[in-house]
This record gives sequence, structure tokens and C-alpha cells, in this order.
Amino acid sequence: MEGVIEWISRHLLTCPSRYFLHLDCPGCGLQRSILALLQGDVEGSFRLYPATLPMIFTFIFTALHLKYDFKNGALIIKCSYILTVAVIITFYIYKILNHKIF
Amino acid sequence: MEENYLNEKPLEDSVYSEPQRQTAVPNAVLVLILGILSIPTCCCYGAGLIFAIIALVLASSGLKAYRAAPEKYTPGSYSNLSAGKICAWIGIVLSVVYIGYIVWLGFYIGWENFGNPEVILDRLGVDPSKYGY
Repeated sequence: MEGVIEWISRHLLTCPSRYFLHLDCPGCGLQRSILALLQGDVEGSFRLYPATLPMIFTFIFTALHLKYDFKNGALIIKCSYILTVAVIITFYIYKILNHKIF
Repeated sequence: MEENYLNEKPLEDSVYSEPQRQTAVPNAVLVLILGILSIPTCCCYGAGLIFAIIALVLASSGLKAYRAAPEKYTPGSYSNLSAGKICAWIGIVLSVVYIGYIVWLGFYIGWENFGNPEVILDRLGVDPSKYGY
């Protein structure tokens, strides 16, 4: 597992926004956040990118819903998706207001 | 009792006497997956926007098929399709807002100043030293 984490940390994708414009995009921090989560650091993962946990929940729930077809599955997916996006936008606005994206 | 009887009769006539095989609305699963993927990839070389647009195109053809004969398709797959469509629209809005912000910033502070936080903050009327630059 440690080898896998180390391999991932050496092969993170460079954000095109960061690379070409030198600006963080609304998705910046996601990979580092997932890496922190893989290392068991939930708090660090939240600090780096608060939307990781709701996003992972949305993915897993969607996969389960497509397999087992839950009764209100589509509604729950919609709600958790909207929550995820709300967190992403809030975090990005927070970064803009605190001048952390440059 | 009488009410129940009245309610049950048309059901027996229409649904139970002629069972129909319902299938999933075409593209429903694909639209849902693409709609959801449009968020984490929103900044990945514009992939999110592309995923969301593909999802909307597929959703419109699926909806056309559903509207032509709603009784042929399962209600669950229809709600998957509409959920995917909403996700795709949100993905598009997020991408457009982000791109709009970048374009505004580019024209406001000058494209050549990207990568130079001191100049950007100076143009925005903020003291760079306060933010550790």
C-alpha cells in the first residue's frame, strides 16, 4: 500500500490551469486530498479539498445505485451532487477571497 | 369498498391483463455517469465541459424516445436520466463560471501578469505582503 501511495504521489497529474495560467482551478487540491485520505489523514484531506468526501460518496452511491437500483437513488444522487458542487464553489470563493489561487 | 373496486378495475384492465416489458430509457446510465464525471474533470483540459455536453446530447435523444412511448420504459431509468441531465447542467454552469472568472481576470489584470502574484494582488488593490507574497 505504501508503495502504491508513493507511486501515486510521484505521478500526480499537473493541473493545466496551474501549468498554463499559474492559477488554481476549482479542482486543485483534489489529488493531494485523495492521497491524504489514502494515508488515513481525514482532517488533512478535508483541509486540502473539503469536497473529496462528498464526491467519493456520490461516486460510490452512484455505482451502488446503478447495480442495485435503490428506490430514491436518483434523488439522493442529485442531492449529494448538488452538495458536492456547493462545497466546491464555496471553497473556491474562499480561496479567491483569501487570494490563495495565484 | 366501492371506491376500491372502482380504483382496481381499470388497473386490472389496463396493466395486469396486458403485462408490458419495460426497458431502461436509452442512454440513461451513460448520461448519469457522464453528468457526474463532469464535476471532478471540470478543470481537466476542459474535459468536464465536453462530458457535460455529450451527456446533454445523449439525454435529449433518450428523452425523445421516452416521450414518444413513456409506458415502454422503467420509471427508475427515467429518473436516472433526468438526474444525469441536472448534473450535466450544473457541471456546465461550474465550468462556464470558472472560465468566465479566468477571462475576466485576464482582461482585468492583463494576461501577461498571470504567474506573478505580486502584480495581480497589486492590480486587485490588495497588499501582497499581507498574504505572504
